[in-house]
Amino acid sequence: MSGVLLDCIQIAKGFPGVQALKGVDFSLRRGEVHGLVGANGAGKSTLAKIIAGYERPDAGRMLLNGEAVAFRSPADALRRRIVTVHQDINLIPTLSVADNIRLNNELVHRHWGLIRRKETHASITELLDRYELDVSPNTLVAELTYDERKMVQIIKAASHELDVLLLDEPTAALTQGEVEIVLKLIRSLAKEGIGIIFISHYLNEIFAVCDRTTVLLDGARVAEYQQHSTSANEIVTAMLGQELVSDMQRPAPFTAEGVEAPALSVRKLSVPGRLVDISFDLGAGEILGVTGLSGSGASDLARAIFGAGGTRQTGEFFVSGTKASLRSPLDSLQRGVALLTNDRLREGILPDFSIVDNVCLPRLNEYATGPLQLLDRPAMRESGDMVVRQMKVRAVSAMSAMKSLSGGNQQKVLLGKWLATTPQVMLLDEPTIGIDIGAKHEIRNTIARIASGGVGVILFTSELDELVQLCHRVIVLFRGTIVEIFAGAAIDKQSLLHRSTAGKD
Amino acid sequence: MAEFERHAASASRPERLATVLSGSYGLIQSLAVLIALAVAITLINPAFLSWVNITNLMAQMAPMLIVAAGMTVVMIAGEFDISIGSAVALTAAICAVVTTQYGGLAGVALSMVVGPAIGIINGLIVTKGKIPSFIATLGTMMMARSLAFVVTKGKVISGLPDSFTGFGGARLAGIPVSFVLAVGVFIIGWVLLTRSPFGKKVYAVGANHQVARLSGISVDAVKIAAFVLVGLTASIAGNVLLARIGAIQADTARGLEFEVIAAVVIGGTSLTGGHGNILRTIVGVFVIVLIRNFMNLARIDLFWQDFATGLIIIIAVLLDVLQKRIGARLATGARRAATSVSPANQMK
Repeated sequence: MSGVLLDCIQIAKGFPGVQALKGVDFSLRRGEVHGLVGANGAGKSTLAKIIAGYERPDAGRMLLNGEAVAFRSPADALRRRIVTVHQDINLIPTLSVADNIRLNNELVHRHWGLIRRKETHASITELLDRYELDVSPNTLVAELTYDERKMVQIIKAASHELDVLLLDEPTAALTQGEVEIVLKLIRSLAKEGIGIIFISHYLNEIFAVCDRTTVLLDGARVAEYQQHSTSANEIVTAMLGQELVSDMQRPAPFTAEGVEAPALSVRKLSVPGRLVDISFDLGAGEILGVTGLSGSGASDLARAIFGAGGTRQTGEFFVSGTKASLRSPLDSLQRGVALLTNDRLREGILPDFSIVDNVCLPRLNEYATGPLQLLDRPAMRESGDMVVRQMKVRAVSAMSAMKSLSGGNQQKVLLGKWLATTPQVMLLDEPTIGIDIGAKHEIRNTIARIASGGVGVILFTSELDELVQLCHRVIVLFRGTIVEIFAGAAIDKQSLLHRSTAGKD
Repeated sequence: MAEFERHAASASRPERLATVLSGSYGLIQSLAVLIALAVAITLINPAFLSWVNITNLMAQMAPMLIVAAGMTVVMIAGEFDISIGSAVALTAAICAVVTTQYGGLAGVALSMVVGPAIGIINGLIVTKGKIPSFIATLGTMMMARSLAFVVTKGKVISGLPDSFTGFGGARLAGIPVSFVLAVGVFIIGWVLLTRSPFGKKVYAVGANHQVARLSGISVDAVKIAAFVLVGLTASIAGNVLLARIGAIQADTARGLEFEVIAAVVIGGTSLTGGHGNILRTIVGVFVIVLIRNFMNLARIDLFWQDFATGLIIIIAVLLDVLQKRIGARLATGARRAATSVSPANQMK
């Protein structure tokens, strides 16, 4: 075929324990924007890494302009005019726009090896004009807004001599208006004849900018669509595969009878740049799911409620019908609101502390006894033993160091730690992330158990199975706003994924 | 369940061994260094082991010991305080000036406020101003030293009443009272760190302040309290020092902060916080004091002494880092062994 720039044929790649790619075909034409979508773990990033030279395929061939290539490093790929723009912004904030764009690619004087400032300035001005970015080349990157930095990052990539541009989630942290600007830049780059691979979770953007879309599922290509002849629904179905949703167990319907006030009410909660005007009620005994793509604000919502999200938020909270400020974690814990964070290693465990000390950390003052107010260590030990027993923690004893436990068991201890504070509202941020199946199952059982005991639970998760199996209602967030609240039988994976990726219709 | 119990028992042995090793290896190692030093000194000069020399050393090291106890608390909380040398000098200066004019009681009472006050200032600058403690206390170090010169007008202050200086030479069962006091400070520090809610919070804040904050602990309050405690020990040490010498000049205790930090580090307290055993700090102080004593007795040029001390600090920390790496490897090895034998155990 003429115009084919890059052709990947039967690319396969395995990692210990998982076959990430099982023989995937992927092609890219000149001047085309080709979308690459799939659920988490479908193999998108592995394919992208192989194309960009970060990983080497186990099997399969790659043709660039009809010539077989095998990259041994990202520098190799760069020499063959394949440039990657990573999701994170890797610009140096203390350098100017021009210095960042020319970093390691400086225009230098032939004899002296010094930077040719005038020529650099002129070439960067020309570049910024061409892509309609209205900033001065001398502006420090630190002074730019987030979308301007993303633009600079893409323009920096485009300043290389390139044929293929790989964009990994280029709009992940942008607001809606900013997205438009970045998409426009992508279109104008494609017009110059560059082939662009566009990885995104946002289906509306896929439709706005792509010519073709490839859908990956479990390491295989399940569909390839021409953009003008498909719908978001069709793509979502392909992303989920043939899995039957109806087979799954569902929780008994939630009734708020006999309970006067909701366990927690959130009114007009906003966090600048993160959340806009969030309001909802949580019943005592209810499991409320909150889901959305990364950057949708789910994690921010959990932290904002718990008082761990900084001081710039506005809005009101009511716990069991009475107003509560929930301004700090201490404040929230005293009002019976607890948070299990999603980052077990950085914000969860103290690895060198024993299980007992980890469990008792939020309640240390309760254990002060006697005239000297020293710790009642037998009572602490008892509390630790109880968590080990109730949460079925596999450990030598409650005095074992936290670091000697597996991830799943650490997570069980942390959940036990918060439940020991006897919360009325339990916020769970990705409670089963990165743990083994057995521990996942036990934690999900515990969540159902505490809710049936009258605790209001908010489950922030991106695992669709978990939402369908556990939740009475599910809030879908999209770029910081609530797009829809599903309840009961209306909770199915298809609609959840559709709303998370496409926002409002 | 029975299978699980058996599995747990089989896992416990290597794991417990690893825990015991990584827990006490440092203590054994520092005690070994200490004994080696003592033997070496005795070989050079048998008089080292005489009771007179030992009690002299005790009285000499008491102020440093007392401050080291407080410094351990601050360092476990993840901070430093390099203003304590100046705090000791300012305390002693104020005590001396006030005592000579208004009597010992007023002098001690007033001077005991100096250290905690500097501690509050340090704590507020570090927590509310979010300035690294090294810089914050560098500033207060210079300011307190300057105040010591202002208070003494740059002169040696002497002429303290006998009731005051008598304490400096006092003995309890033959042991200098100042040393007994230092031991008391360590006992209180040990109880505070290991048996009180505050102590657990200090460790938690130093290990991971984010986890501590999310657990409802007021990180700022814990850090400020730690700075106040080290300030308090500086004031106690200032009074002890003044009582022993009987006179004071503003230049006293210059560089004490670095010797103390070195002692705490040699004692195995982590430079990044969260780890440490206050009792091992005693060993650290002994090591520093004995090295100086050794070099004096061996007639090593005075100008080389700081060089040697510096070298020993680096070696001690290197050994500590190595030991932690080995301990971590043992622990993960034991865990891996435990998980890999479990299916076999369950088959039986």
